[in-house]
Amino acid sequence: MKPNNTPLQPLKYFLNFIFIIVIMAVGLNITGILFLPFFPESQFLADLLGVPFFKWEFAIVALIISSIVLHLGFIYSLYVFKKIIVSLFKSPLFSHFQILSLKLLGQLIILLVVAKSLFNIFSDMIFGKSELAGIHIFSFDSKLMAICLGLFFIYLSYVFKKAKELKDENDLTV
Amino acid sequence: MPIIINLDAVLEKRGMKSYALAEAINITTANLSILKTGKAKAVRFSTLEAICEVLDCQPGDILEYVNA
Repeated sequence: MKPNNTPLQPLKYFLNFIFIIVIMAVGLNITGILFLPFFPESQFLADLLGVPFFKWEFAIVALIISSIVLHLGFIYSLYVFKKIIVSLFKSPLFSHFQILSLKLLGQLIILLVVAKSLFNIFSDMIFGKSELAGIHIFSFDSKLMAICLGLFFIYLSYVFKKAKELKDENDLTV
Repeated sequence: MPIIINLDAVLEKRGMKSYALAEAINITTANLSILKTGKAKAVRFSTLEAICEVLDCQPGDILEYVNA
């Protein structure tokens, strides 16, 4: 049983687009870090790395590296999501791979949201700025919504697992 | 599984080959093999009816419950 591919097509293109943009952004961040030893006072590099100013302090360097790790985590999540979508196109529905990947994606989303929240708290402590003004608790870009999404993916994995059991049973019905 | 499929024995009594039964009841030999080896999770009433009709037997001749 293969899904109707048409509704998935825009999602596939959109994911590919985001994937390329994020890879370019992380590439720029890493390039910025490589140039930082030569231009430590550069405001452009500080902006590129997403910090108000740069100093050779352990906390700031650790924050920038954490930011890149978070971005790499986001890239990996997108990669897993892309793999799921490709799998929905090419493989039959309810495969073992899809079940595991959906669960992994849900766990990654929750982990990254929690890590990003901790990152914001440390960032506020170091740079003395408040992210509270930017928090939209009751909108789709809120962290609570992202955690809901992560939990939903984990539940979707459970649904796929149950569906696989039913499919196997159906295949063995004579 | 405590349900035993005695299809082989009934087929032997009737002197009928598996592929002939599969053809007569319109299922694949692979599915008939799943049924004969006890790997099937369920049997449709329509399949059971067709088997009984072709082999001229009762469902109880094919299916047997064994207390495990």
